[in-house]
Amino acid sequence: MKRRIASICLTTLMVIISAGIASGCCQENWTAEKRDSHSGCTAGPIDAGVPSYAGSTLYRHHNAPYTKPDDSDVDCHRKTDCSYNDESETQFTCDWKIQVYSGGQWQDCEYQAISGDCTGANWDTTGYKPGLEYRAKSFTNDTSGDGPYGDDAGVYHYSGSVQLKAPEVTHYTKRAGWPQCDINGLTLAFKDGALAYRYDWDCSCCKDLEHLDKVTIRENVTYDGYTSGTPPMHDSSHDGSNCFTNQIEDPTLRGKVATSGWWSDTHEMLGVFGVWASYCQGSQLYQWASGWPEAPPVNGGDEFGWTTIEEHTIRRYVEEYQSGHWRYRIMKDNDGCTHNYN
Amino acid sequence: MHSNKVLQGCGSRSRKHGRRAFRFTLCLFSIVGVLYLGTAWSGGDGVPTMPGDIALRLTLFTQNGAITAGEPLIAKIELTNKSEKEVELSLGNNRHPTTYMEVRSQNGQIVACTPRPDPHADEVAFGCTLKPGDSHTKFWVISALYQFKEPGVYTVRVQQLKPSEGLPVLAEDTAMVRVTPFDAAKLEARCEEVFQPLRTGTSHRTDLPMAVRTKALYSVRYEAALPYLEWIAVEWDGQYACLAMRRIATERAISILSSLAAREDGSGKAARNALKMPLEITDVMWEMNDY
Repeated sequence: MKRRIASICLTTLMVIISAGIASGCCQENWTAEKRDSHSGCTAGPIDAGVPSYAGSTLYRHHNAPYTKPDDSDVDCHRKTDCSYNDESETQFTCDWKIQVYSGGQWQDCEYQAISGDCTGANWDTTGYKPGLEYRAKSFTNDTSGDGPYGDDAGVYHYSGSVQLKAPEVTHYTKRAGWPQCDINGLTLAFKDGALAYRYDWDCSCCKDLEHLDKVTIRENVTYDGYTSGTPPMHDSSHDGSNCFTNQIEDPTLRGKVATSGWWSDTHEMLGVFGVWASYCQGSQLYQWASGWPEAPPVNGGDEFGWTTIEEHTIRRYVEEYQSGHWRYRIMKDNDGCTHNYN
Repeated sequence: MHSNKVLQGCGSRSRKHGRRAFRFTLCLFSIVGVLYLGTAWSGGDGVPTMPGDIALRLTLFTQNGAITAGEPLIAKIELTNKSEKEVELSLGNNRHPTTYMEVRSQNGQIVACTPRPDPHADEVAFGCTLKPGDSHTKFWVISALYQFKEPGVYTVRVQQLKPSEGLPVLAEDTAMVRVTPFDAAKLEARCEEVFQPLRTGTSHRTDLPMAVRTKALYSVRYEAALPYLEWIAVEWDGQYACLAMRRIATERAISILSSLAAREDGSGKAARNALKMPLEITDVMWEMNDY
């Protein structure tokens, strides 16, 4: 009886196996890449597109659009009849990061990943330090569980590098109608004899002067003659004919972040002067520099790379223009104002 | 001189006296128009601000009006043109700002104040032009001016001054802050809150600009700020972050600086400089972020 039962089972098993062979012996399967036994397949790793940035110059405060060609991939499909064919993978996800060249190598910025998909990304450069080389890094990931099921390893590609530039002060211009003398009623208390200017400026590739938020603009005035002490003070009573009494920091550094787009500059009568001739001279530079993560202090040193926009010579005179009649006169290059007194 | 050249050019084209007169008039109008457009385009030619023209609103960034001792304190100062005309507001410069701030202790004593404007200053002065209803907003790091290390109630007063004789007050506002005893956990939490958008590069999308956040961290004199200052130093070669660590001056702060100083990159240079620099504040308005 036992033998009979064993014989029936064996026969049944044979029938089942035979039926299986007759109808195709293989389970359907996908692999990411071709293997030696996969005759008929050409599958390989993902051909991921290389990201690129079309622009030649990239300023902070701008969006850099990166584009990327379509990703493509072919997986090897084993059919139930045990034959092989290629099937295209169609669904990928892409992640993007920005890398900075620092310490002799490319490093992932610790910042938030930039938003993008498998066609491209948009990099908002506002939060990134200018003056450095950056590149975009895209990671194409073959997501599992969609379409063909050969799960390729993800592929990284890098764009070419681009230097991020800091916005610059441009178009620094003396306003029409200036300089003026003897001005009253302005926000500054001009005295009789003051020489007053207004200047406007703009910024490079800027939609908004707020782009100059890391740029400081300043005047840097130095004086000829006698300077001593800490901090160094210029004493104009030592200039000319030893009578123009005034002490002022040398250099005199005044400024602020450049986002206002304009400033006034007044050259007033300085110190105490009497009825004896005197003369002093100084040099005035208008300069700007950019910093990170803040605009540089006005007294920031050469490490900020101050750019000089204009240079002027300022001369102050006390002189007897007629017998018994005196005047104070200020000249900035060829402009001048006078104040007469007796 | 420029006008003369234009007139000569205009006249040189005319042949008949009548036509010359007409063209002269036309040219004159053109010059006036160009000058007008020039000034209108460049801005900054509004009416000087007078008392009553603007409103000042002071807001302190606190939790329910309180901070823990040593915590960075930030103020928002909004200057709004409430007149019906365009006004020109002088902002002064780094040495002579036209916004004045003082901090008073509970007994009414002034414990810190900013420099006052100098109406006779021989220097550049920045400005902004405000249309009716427009505002100029700035954020000041008050803790760069005064370290709130002692618990108590403090009054902060801000005045917008006109830089003319007597320094008339254009507008003012006050706010109070209660300083609670030092709480390391609260300080750490606040530093982290201030820092986080710097790490993610998103501070420009928040209510506080990047430079306010960094300067708020520079103003802290406790070790809670060290990890953030070190990050700024390493990530951005931040020389002022290194100086801030030097001002904390604890063994741990100096140890971090010494480690940074051994680096070959910009942060190493910044740390080496900081270890040699004097500790005093050299530009309080910069430290407060009046830039």
